[in-house]
Amino acid sequence: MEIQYLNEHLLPGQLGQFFIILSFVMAFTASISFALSAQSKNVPEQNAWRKFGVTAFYIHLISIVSIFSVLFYIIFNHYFEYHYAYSHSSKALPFKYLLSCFWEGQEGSFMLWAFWHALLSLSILHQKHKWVAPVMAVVSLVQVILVSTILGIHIGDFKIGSTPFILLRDQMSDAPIFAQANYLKMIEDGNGLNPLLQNYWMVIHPPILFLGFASTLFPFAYTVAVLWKNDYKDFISPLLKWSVFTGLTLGAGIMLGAAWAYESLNFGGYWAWDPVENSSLVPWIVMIAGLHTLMIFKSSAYSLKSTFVFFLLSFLLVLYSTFLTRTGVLGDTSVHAFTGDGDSLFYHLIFFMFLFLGIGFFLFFKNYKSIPDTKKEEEDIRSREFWMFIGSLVLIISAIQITYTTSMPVWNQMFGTKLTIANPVEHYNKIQLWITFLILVGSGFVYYLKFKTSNIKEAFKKILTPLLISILLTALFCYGQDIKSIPIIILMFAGLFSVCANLFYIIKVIKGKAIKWGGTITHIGFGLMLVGIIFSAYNKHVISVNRLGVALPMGKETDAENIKESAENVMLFRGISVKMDKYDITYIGDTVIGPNHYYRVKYQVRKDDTGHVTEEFVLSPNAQINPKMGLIASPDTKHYLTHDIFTYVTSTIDKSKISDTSKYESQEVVKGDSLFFSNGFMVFNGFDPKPHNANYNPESGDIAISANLKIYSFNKDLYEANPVYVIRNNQEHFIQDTVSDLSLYIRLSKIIPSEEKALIEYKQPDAMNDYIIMKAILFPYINVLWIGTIIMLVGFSLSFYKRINQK
Amino acid sequence: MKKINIIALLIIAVVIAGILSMVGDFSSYQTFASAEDKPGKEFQIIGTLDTSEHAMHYDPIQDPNRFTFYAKDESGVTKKVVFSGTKPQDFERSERLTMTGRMENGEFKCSKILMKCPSKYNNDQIVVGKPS
Repeated sequence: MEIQYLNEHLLPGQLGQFFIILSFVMAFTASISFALSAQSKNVPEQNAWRKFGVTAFYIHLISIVSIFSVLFYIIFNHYFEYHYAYSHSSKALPFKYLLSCFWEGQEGSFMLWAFWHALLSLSILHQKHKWVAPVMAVVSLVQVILVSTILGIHIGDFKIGSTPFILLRDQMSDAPIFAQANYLKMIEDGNGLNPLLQNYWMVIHPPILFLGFASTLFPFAYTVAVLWKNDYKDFISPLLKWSVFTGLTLGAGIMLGAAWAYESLNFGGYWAWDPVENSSLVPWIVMIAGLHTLMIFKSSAYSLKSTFVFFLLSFLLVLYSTFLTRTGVLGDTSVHAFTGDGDSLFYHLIFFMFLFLGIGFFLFFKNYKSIPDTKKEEEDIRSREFWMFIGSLVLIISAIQITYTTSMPVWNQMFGTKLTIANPVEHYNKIQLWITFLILVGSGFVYYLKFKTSNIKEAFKKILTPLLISILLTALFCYGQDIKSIPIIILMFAGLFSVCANLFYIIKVIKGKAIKWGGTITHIGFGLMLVGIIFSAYNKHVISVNRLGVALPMGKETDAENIKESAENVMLFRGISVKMDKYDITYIGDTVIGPNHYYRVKYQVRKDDTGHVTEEFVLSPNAQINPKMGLIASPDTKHYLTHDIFTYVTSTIDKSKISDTSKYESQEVVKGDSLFFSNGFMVFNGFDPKPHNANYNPESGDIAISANLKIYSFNKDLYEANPVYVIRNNQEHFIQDTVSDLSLYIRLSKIIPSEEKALIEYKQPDAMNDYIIMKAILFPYINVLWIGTIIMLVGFSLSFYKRINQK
Repeated sequence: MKKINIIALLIIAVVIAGILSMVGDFSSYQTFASAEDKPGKEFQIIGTLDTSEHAMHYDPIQDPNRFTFYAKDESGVTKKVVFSGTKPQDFERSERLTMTGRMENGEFKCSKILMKCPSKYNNDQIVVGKPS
């Protein structure tokens, strides 16, 4: 017999599913209409199909917005009969994180992606130029495939996509709970959002990153359009505009990810060459290569073929990135790979990749011969375009190397091997260092060469000043920062050279025309980023060196190095200060807010001779003891202009598992008396007939009085406590007060009115039971990296502004 | 486009040489036995926590940076592992461990542990409360 389930809200789901189907059908309709318009020979027919396509696309866009709204409605109202709401949200989740629920799940992030495609298309949809129809045909086709991943319809045994509107009871139909009609009453709360995502960075990082991913579609679509129509006029401007836009948005998305990793993950840095990071970086690198070869084509008619290949690849690499991170293929190699969403998505994405790989490269090779190319004499080695092309090739090499190593798990699956890299960071760094060196040096001198050919002597004369200045600065910085590694010094020089050469180019050559600064400013930003990376990574050091522990043989030559390697965590007992670097650090207490457990660690700098505190601050690293994921630590960082102190908890004690064996001590006091405890004393200030204690809820008929105590710790902190004594229904009750920083519990257990005496009982559970183990890392000059990033993004924005204002 | 072709080929050659020289960075996942053959070299070993005979040991008061346990590798051999760091939370619940480190005197000195816990993100188990 069918069970009639109670209290379910089925309408939103049905509505949502309807919009999914509608958006799918409309994307399909739009794709066909635009394709017919693009193929049609006569103008009225072209226009008719185009208009039809535009209407269909609008309905598609509205449907996607509706899907979003319905899903949000479901999450907002905690309708846990829906699997998506159940597995990605919980009642306690603050409003600001409800949006993050979208991108925790695969369905939600694909919707976000599709939404950006549709939204960006609005800038094309109403233009009248010849590219609208073919470009939109490609975009609509991509939308068809994207929406198909959330269709969730069955054709026989074959399932296409998984819908975000699936009911919990359909997803887990075997669970016995669903035999009961009122099962919803038994589901008290959802599974909750992954705590890593409960962070403000994760509210902004994924949308921007997906905007970047979505942008790569447009250079791809324009390239396909150009090849499809086999028409090589008037395509440079839109391609430039879109590739610069992608450079900006994808660059911003990646760097926001780096900032997130630095600010809220305990990986101990901003970049770890993790497959998830790599696979978003590679499309950006390839896009930048395409942007440069397109500039070459614009000025000298070379390298159009490479440009097309790069733009096709950039989008395909975004698909590949999705494939790597979403299907569980990465397995053991990634710290933050997302869930494996099963086989259906695996084949879905393979189909997606090969479909567009096929379309792009079929057209490319079909029209290979008609793609314009100069038939002139060979390129001059003294020309700007020659070196720009070399630079682009170097970028592609970088992309190939990163992709090759990141894809190791894919090779392993294909060839049945079991290869891995024990130390991936070192592996990437040692190759990418030299590639970055070439890029930086190139981006420095290439502006001093002219297109076609240049006078080398003249160029050298101009470049001499920035060259000398950068050599000088390199010497100065490397000496000042004690940088001794030769490759690092060389890279430092390259970064500074790029900054100086580009800066001089602005001052000496472009001068006042700020609109033309885009490229140079981007290069300056990139150079500064590298300098910042060297500063912060080379001299990054752990300051929480444990001097008490036993050194492990870590394979280093000296004992000092062994100790440094093996002992990077310090143990802090509550209230007992430990010397660390120039700081005295003390774990002073903890606070629980929602799922977050904040541990307050006080840093103090004292003068050696007088012991006078010259600087003091408190960091509150946060740790969640998550039942599913273990300890999730988020660092807290003290930002100085010149360095950051990055602190996080690596291990803590689970207080619920400790039995409190300490006993109350008691003492009778009159007003003004003091009581001593292990690390301070308290003074009894008298009674208060109107108790102020958050734990006390007055009831009528209560006879209540509280004792006011001022508490002075030996650390010179002042606290107050108000334990309450209540007679309610002829029974005594004690409402204790606690000073959590001192883990001091106080109660008022007796009053002797005639003598105005109070019996105060107090206890301090064993301090050895309250500790944290933490790690602190010092990152010097990390602000140079962030400033460089901002300058680079400003440069991209300037270029973008120039391109959209130039017809 | 002659010169550029030559230079492109040169660069590609350099890169291939570079990548080939990196082959040494790649290694297969090892077992304790194969890591023992090359003491001092860093390897990755996949295994599981084995508490059947020996318990895990972590005493932060003595040394917060030393956590020892026994792990069974894919060939079924159990060895002592010394991890230079804090004991990861919920370590006992891990299903699979990827350990990076080297063999020394019959012990695996481990500098990095990646643990796979049962269904890390999507836990399709329903927490049932009492009907309210």
